Amino acid sequence: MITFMNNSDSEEEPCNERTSLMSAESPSVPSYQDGLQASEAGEAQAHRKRRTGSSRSPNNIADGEMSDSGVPVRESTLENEEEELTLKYGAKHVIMLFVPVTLCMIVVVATIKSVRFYTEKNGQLIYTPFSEDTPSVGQRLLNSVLNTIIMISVIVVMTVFLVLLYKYRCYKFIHGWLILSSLMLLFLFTYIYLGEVLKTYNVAMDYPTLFLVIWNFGAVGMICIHWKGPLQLQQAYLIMISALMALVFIKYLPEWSAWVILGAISIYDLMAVLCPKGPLRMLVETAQERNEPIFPALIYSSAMMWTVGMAKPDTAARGPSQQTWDAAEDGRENHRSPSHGDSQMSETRSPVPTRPITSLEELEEEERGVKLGLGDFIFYSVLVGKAAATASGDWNTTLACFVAILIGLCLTLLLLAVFKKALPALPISITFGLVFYFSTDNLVRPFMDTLASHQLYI
Amino acid sequence: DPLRIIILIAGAFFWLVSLLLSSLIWFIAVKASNPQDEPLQKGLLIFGVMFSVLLQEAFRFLYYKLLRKAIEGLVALSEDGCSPISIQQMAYVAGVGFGLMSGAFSMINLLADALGPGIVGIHGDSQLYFLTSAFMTMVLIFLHTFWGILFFHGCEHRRWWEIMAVVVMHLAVSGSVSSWEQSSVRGPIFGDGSQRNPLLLPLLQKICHPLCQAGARIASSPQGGGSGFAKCCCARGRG
Repeated sequence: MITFMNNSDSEEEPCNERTSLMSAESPSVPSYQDGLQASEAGEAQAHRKRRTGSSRSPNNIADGEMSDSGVPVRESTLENEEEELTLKYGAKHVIMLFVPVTLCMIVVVATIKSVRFYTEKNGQLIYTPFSEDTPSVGQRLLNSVLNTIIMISVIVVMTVFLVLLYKYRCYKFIHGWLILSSLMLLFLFTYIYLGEVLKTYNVAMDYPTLFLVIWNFGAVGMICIHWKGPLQLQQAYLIMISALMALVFIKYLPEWSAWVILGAISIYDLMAVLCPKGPLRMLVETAQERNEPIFPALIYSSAMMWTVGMAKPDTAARGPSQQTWDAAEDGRENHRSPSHGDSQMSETRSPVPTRPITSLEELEEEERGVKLGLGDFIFYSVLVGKAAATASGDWNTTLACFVAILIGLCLTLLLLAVFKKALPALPISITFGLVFYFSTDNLVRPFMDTLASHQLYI
Repeated sequence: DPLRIIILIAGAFFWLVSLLLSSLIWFIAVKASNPQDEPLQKGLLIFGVMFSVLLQEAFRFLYYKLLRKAIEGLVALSEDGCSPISIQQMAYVAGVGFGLMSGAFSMINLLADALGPGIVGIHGDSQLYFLTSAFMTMVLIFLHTFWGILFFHGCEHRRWWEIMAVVVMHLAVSGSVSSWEQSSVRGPIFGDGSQRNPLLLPLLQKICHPLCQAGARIASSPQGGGSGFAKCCCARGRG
């Protein structure tokens, strides 16, 4: 599971979004998409082990706790059906993450290409104090590295602070912090964004209308993100605030610093999630121990749980309460279910694998989802947005970075299916994105331009 | 279907990687040569195109190998011993992936420029630049799809002549659309450096038709059962 922490407070505060990818389901998501041979062999191994009835399947070991009643039920059912289901769920999960990532990137690229404001240089954040206006290349490089060091250390400090707060149960402080940061994003940044878009298209809007629009947008956003709301509305709001944050980064990070920061953040993400003492790993483990969800404002969840009429009476009683309206609690349910032995939850979970075989009239369809941290969205969009902004007006670079990031995400999900624990979602995608950005901008662009001017098609 | 979307994007990614490597080679060659020498640059460009075509086909083969392994994995994981997607469907989707990426890279800068102000062919070049580019891109996308189907079919049944036919056709198509009447290189808004020959398009259509028929034949053959997509695609291509 990759968990992601979003600590953005204000425009001046950095967004210490740590990215991670979290799998919320208990059964494994086998890799059947264009998988590497080793991972497929490993996955086939894992499934053969399950077939032979080993009760401690790899995901149990990875998750730590597993509802015991769920396992024998799963084994008793036709495991092939379940594997077939999880196969389908596996590809579906990838698409369920492709769509929001693509949407966020489209919003950012569309804004960058049309609204001048976000490509103008109007100062820098206080976290990147060194200017890049120096004439010499060495000095510029040095300044960008120093900016990166300052930014990353601020992010590390904030993340450690958050983890400490969480460990010592200062929930009120954390909630207040998150509410403040999402207030800032939903009201102030939206106001600025709307103002710039209106300016670009020369549309006049009076203050009362503006106030009404921003108030409604912000208030509904706060409710959806921090309390309850329809799942899709919550997802839409999370995508929008990620896009807004990414636009702020694109505007206020100087060029070379932005690229170095992207590289450094993916290395930090790798270490923070995988090292035993990494802050993010500790956060995930603490959350799992306490059977609590990670904060709802930090994670994008693609899961839905519709339980309409179930076989068991006690779960039927719970059925109506578990509707898609309860988005925040959906996150909790999905996070909780693989990790604690609540008997009710296990009974909710355990009949699910039998559902496609036996049920006819019950429309119960539980889709176990994957969770992706908001920082992943933000940094993917920063990469693609920077590519759109600074690649000499070339769309090929943007497209290449987009495909690279999607493939990186696909590979990360593949690894998630193999390892079944929290994984960092940034490193592979950002590496591919950076490689493709620099190579497309410097190598492919002259080639394609020459080909286009001679009307050669390859 | 999620699986097909993933195969599509992965196909686009493989094409992109092949383009990257071939443009790296071309770039090195150009940097190592004399930029003033016009015929040399032309020759290097032709060499770059040919090398890129060969590399694309090599990556198509690599992608075929990867998809083969993926099918084996899918078969192993499925309940009734048959994978949810057949190799013919994968061939179609892979071809579409290659074609879409190739078309996007060829066309998208033109489209972005076409939004802006300008007059096509104002310096005496062909006024049909956008139109011919659009048609050529469309033809290339369809051709990539068909080549994908043919190539995978040839690899499946070990018919090397089919694979060679795909490579030769690709080389022929890429090589045939170059014309070097004018040596100046300008941006598309003010016309391009080459005279578009309007007769070239029907010629390429003639190339497409036998390909469509070959694809349809493969699709309707007993080995190709289940590839309704190939049939649809060929029908569309014919139309």
